[in-house]
Amino acid sequence: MTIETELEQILDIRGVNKAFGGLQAVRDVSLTVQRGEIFGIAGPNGSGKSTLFNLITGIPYGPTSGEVHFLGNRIDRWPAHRIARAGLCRTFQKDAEFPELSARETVLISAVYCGVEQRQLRERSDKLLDDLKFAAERRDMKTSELSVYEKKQLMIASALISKPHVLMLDEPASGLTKPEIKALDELLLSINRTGVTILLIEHVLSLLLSLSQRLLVLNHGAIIAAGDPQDVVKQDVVIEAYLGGRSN
Amino acid sequence: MTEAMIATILSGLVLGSLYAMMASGLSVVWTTLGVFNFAHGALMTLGAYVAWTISEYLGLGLAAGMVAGTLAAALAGIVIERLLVRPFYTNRNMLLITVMTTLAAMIIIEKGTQVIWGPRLKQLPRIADGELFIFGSAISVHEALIVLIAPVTLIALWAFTARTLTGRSLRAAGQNQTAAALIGIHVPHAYGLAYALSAGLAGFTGVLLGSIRFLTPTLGSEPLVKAMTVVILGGLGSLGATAGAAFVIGFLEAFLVLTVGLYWTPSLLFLTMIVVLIFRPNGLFGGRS
Repeated sequence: MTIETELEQILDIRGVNKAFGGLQAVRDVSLTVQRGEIFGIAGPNGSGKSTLFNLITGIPYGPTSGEVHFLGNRIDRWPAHRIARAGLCRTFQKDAEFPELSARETVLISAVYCGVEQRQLRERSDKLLDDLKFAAERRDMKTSELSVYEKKQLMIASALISKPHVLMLDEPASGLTKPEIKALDELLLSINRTGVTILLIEHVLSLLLSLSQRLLVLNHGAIIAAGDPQDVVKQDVVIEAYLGGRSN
Repeated sequence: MTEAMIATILSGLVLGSLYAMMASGLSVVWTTLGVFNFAHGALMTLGAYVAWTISEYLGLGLAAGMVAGTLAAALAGIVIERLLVRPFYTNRNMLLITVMTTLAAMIIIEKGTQVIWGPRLKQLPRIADGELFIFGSAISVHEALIVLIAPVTLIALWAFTARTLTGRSLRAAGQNQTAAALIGIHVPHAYGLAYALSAGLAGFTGVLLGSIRFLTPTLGSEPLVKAMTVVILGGLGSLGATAGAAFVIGFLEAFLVLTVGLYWTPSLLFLTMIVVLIFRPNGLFGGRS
């Protein structure tokens, strides 16, 4: 199944597959993402959402077959650091931190490969942390000592400092409280307004529906529904995938 | 007795300084790649022999020899990482495999130095001649300079890893390989740099050691064991912990030589390490378990 758009494509995924031995984790997934949109990806646990992210970013593996094109370049055989430097950045479900580095150091080293001039680095990282409302007094603490929400903020800051074209977020709301989810909602919208395209995997449906302009649902590694988020969540096939049958 | 104690303290200072420099290089590779480089001692030997060739055989002076020895060891470190460590990054038994591959590198370098430089004993000149007397105890100017060079080297190494973006990238690659790649760090290059840095430090230390001891193909074997003891005792962690453990081992060794003699000192040093690890499994100064 394919989801396509006539507008400016920034990311084009063509028939990607990933098999682990006999297990087909992602099967024949094709989609295009247009510049500036927030594109949601949903699906039950184990449906292949994070694996799809892995295939796109090359971390820790690329697709078994199929192609990934980003800004006109085929990137599915590129090493992960090259994909990141090209402007395709992601965060992980779980903390992907440098436990012994401070929050400030983490953002600074994240800027190393994005061409920011050395003398502007500190100023820019401070401004970014300000924009993300990251508490000033906690910026020199070790990352391992930060709260879950602060770690999420830091992951996003690390991705944003390099001015990415596409930001891929894997369940950013997991482990957050309701007020924190609300803050995250506003944060992601504000990031999107700066022109950053966002791919969002999320289990918190309210966040996904509130943010996504288009939604794709995976089950058993394949696309089962795609399109307008409000329409997609009403489809029988989606309800069955989540609940095992139609709810009343 | 006082003179003997002062001599012991001075000896401990010299030993601690050398061990700190050896162990800090070993620690850089451990904290970045999570492997022990068993070729570290052989890289010291290589650095010393190359320095001898430049300084004595070609007559270009110790300073040139020091630079050449350091660079040769760094280059050898890059080759070891590229050929004997990198192919096994993704292997689940990487730690065990790299024990064997770096041991192989050690043997190749040791045998290679014997073939190239022959079995005759050689020695590097000292940085400076003469002796200093401290409360009646003598220490050579060369050894006194080692005591000064060691902290300067360690501070420079700390400043590089803690204060520069490249150094921070090395630490990041060591702490989380996936996250490092995510922010654009070329992790294999970072690992190669860590190896070069560590090996260069080994070569430099080998040059300093080669002015105190005779150059033999196994010059670095015994220091390697001491450096490993230091890194483990320090807690497999920060440079500060490694340096602290180096001076603990240095002073302990000097004190044991004075009290129980040279014969039993190595055994007692190992016994001390084992006892410490029983009560403090993460080493004297904590760190990564």
